[in-house]
Amino acid sequence: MPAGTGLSWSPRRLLPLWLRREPLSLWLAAIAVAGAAALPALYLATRAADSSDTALDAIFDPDTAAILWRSIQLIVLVTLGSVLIAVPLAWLTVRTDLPFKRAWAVASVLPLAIPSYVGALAFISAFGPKGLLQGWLEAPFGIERIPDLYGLTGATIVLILLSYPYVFLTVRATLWRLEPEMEEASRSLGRSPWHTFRKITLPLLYPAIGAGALLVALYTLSDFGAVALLQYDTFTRVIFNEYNSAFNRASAAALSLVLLGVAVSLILIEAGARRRARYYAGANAARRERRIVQLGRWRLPASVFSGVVTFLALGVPVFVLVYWLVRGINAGESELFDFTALYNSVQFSIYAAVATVIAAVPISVLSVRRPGLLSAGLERFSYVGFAMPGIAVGLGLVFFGIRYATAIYQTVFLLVFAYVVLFLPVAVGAIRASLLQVNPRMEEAAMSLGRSRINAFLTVTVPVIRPGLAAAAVMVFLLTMKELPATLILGPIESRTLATSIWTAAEEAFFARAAAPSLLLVVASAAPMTFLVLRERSSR
Amino acid sequence: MTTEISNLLGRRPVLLVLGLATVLFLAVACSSDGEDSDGELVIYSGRSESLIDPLIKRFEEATGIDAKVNYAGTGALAATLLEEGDRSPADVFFAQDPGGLGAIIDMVKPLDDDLIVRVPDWARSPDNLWVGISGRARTVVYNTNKLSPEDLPDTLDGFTDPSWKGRIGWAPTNGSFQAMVTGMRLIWGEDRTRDWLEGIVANEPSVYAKNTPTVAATGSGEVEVGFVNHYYLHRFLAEEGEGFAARNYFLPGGGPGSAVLVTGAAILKTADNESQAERFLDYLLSEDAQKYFSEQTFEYPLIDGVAHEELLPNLDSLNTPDIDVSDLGDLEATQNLLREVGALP
Amino acid sequence: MIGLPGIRKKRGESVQTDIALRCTGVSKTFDGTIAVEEFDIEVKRGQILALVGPSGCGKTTVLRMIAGLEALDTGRIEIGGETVATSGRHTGPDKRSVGIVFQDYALFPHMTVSANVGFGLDRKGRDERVVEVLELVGLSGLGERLPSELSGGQQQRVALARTLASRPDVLLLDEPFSNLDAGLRERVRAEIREILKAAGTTTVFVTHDQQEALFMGDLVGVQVGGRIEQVDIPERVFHRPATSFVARFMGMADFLPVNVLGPRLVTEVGPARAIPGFEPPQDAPLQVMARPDDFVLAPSDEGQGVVIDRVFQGWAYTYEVELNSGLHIHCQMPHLLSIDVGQRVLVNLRRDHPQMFFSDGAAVPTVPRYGQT
Repeated sequence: MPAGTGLSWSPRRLLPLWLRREPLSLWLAAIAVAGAAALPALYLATRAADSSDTALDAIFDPDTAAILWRSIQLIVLVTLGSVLIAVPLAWLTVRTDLPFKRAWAVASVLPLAIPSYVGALAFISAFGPKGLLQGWLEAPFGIERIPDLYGLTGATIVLILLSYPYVFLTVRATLWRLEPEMEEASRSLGRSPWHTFRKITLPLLYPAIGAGALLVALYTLSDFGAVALLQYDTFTRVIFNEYNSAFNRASAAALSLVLLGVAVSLILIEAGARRRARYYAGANAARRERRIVQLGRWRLPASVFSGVVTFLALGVPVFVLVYWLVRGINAGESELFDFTALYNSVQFSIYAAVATVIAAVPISVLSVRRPGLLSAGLERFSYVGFAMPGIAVGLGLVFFGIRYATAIYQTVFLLVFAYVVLFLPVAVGAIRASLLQVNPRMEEAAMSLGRSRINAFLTVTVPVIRPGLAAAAVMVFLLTMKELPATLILGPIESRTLATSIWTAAEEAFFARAAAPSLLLVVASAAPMTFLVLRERSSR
Repeated sequence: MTTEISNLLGRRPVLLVLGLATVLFLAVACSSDGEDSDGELVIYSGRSESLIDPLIKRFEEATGIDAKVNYAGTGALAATLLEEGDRSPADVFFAQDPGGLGAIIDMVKPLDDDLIVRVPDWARSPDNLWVGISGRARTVVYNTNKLSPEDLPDTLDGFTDPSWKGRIGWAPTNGSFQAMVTGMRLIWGEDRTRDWLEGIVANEPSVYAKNTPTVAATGSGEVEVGFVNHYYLHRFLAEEGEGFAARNYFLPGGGPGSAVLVTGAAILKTADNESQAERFLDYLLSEDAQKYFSEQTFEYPLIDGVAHEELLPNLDSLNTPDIDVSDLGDLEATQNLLREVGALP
Repeated sequence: MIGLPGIRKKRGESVQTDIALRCTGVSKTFDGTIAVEEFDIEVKRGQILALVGPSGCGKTTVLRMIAGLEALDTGRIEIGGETVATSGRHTGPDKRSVGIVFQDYALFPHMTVSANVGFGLDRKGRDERVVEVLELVGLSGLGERLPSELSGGQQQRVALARTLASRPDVLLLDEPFSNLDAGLRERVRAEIREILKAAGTTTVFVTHDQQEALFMGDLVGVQVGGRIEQVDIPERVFHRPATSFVARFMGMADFLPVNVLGPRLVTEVGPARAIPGFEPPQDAPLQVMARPDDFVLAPSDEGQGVVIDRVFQGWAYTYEVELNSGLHIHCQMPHLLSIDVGQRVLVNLRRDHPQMFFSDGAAVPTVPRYGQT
């Protein structure tokens, strides 16, 4: 536009109308965040392209197909298992008169705080062919060896126990706000409680199950600790081997890209399922207290079920950790509790939680308020980081950080940036869910009363979605507390965290020294999680 | 006033927390920004903090040099160094194995002769680009409840016998194991190495992620023998006591199964603090540090005049094969071989 | 003449009964708050009972107890002569032949219209029945749509069809028209009344809107504070309310003090007419109830009231008149006559029909709470 015409020129004019309806800054923020989340993928592509022959060799190696198949098997089994455990557990702790159900709810979420390498190690110590269990069985029953849990079986069990809380949390949240009338209508149409659950409740939970299952699947895909210790070869093991033994970055990057491809497929599958399940957004908050299902004679089996899950997922790891700790103390270990590491962990995790929640808001708002190809694309994009091995995210940010952000390289800024990239989808998921329940007319009403758009958002919407923001923050806090590979690579020099302390001790077989920070980690993560679960009801 | 504050607290906890966190974040970030690496030695250590941290403290005390250590896996650090390139803040790379040093060999500078000559020839890079710091012997750990030394073969060859089916533990992704196989290829040649690997694979060994779980599994009786580095056993003995049911068996017949591997250190070409870096390597090869390795980490000291832990056999008596550890850094062919026989994913 | 439901029949007899639904002494308390108290009702086969009452009067709770979605504390509910709930026993909602249509329909969003309608049916004959019922509610051809693709009125009819499909003995409707806008509401409720009558379904219908209750119900039950205040045919509930609450709730009503002068009943607006044989209570204040159409206004400077407000309603004006005593009354007059605010008026009670009298909130003479059904 020629100068001096007197017409004000705004870049917004270039945008299509539908894009102009939200402030440009919101779109730019969302695009920037999604772009940041894509940096590690960009790095991998660069790395693989640099030595494309090696990369192509790695991708088209027949072994890669075999690994792909193994990874898919594990993902399918872990995801199914998590759903099978989490859905009944969520239902029992929300809808029934299960005794101590709040305690069960808290306990059922806490396995999320256990790093997979600790969980796997504890599981092997307890249930390995020569584990603690076998030791107890040997004297009275003469059992010298119990069946081997290594391989697919063990990896599946441990990953289910560590990741079912993702489904548990999303399903619980939806169960709270499903309209009871749906189920009542079914019952009054002559259908039994079981038929009602199968045909009405369960289908209405599909979107929540899908969202949780996606996180489980991506977590399984990117996990290294559990599969390594339980001797099941997946992508992450191969990638780890390429970095650590072969020192071959190109094929590591290429394999990471294949892994990313799997992740994107999973994301698209879930997106497709969600599209069919548009009704998710229509669920209103329930107006009436729902009827509590009387378990009657099922009380005992239900309690046993909750007890077994909690025992395996939380009790066993904690027991083993305490056992190691006591054994170490008896052997004369001292100064086991390192409070500097605790302080660093908590500090980083709080920054990560705040930064990730803030970063997640634009994408969440747009994907809820302006459903469309671009906003959906941005939202899906945010999942990329979660699916990638931490080491790839770490190296990607080393690559970009040292070149374009030297000032913040090896500072807490870049580390927090990495956490945002890694955990963005968890925050987006929680914030989206609570935004779906906010009537946008409220904000419009505030604006018509003279508030600016941002003011209306902060004073009307934010207080209403506070439970969602809190849930997002707590989840990111938890995940950051146990994050290892990116922390090791990107952490400011000499900033030991609980996760790195556990790693360094376990690496050298100092189990007591690993147990103490592990317990600190579980306790420090348990506190906000407990708060979150207990608040759930009052904040509805 | 007070009510205002409590109102604020009561009504806006989220905003308050957000605000506080932001302030804290900026404060911390600014304070850490002020620190420059000038005069501080930056070490990337692939050796674990639990072993090396006390040594660093001693070094700082002895020299007055401020050392900052970035701990992570050797492979992750090698990859990080490669990504950082000539912008790397690192001065020294202290690696768990020669492979890690080999990966970044183009980034390091030759070391002073007087440093190099303190270790035997076999324990350093031929072009003086890195120097060995401590030695670890490959060994066979066995369960003492099930086996006694007499039951064990003289060399690794013996374990391909079908009688060992289901009794062996190994960690084929482990760097030290792969270095041993590299040694095997050098000593035995490709074909014999492949035969051996196939023989072991046929015996369906339990596959562990690394040395530690292999030793743990041997001690618990999950497997009867494991191919590991020698010093892990001593960690278990320290924590679980003498009752831990495993001991090392140093193969009397020698060969690749008793290869001695080294950890090593190198100085980056781009080191800002070259003199401090040299003093650090000098310290690592001092009597004080070598004693630490011998006494605290149960490794073999590499300089003359420092005795190894009395529980360990003499290096000479180990019947170590005559190979140059720097050759053990060439892992690609080894990895291919391991993949071929199905030992690696 | 009064069908008090307190008189119970023995079980064997009840099979031939033409009573489709009977509640006897039903009470329900939530966390110490009484929601329903001593609730009695009787609905004959094919009848529509409209339960009306202010919000919070417990009418929805009554519906939910009949449906089996809520257990009762005391009392008894019988459906088709079969006891489905007493304080000790509770038959699940799926075991009762009762269908409920919720206020917001509770359509299953993940199922098509046909799947929704066929949800409660056995496989055998399902498709035919779905077609039949959709035709009954005028939605033929929309079977493959999702609920979200329908208008509010259509969703309403799907909800009704879904419930009617399994031919419940009793159909329950919970404020079914409250989500529809005014124009649509009148049309839909006429349609639905027709559908219900065509299907001959016994229906209990809950609303807070008197007009709706009067229009829909064969019987109208007025509920307040968890109790039934009166049940009768719409005309009688409107014209012969048993209590002053019912009188006020069912439509605009003014109460004027009555002086009993021998046989004459005199009010500030002239004499009131009572039914033959009326016997005023001894020593208790008596009031006459007047609906807006019971008054006649005429502008007159000697009138005993002043027009203080006038509301135009198209076919009529409603005037608010302040009488000399300070009492306010409401009168409806055809629009042909227009009286300005401030104008003094002469007010009289129409003498063409007897008025209702109340003493102490209850009708004089007593009107049975359970009218002839």
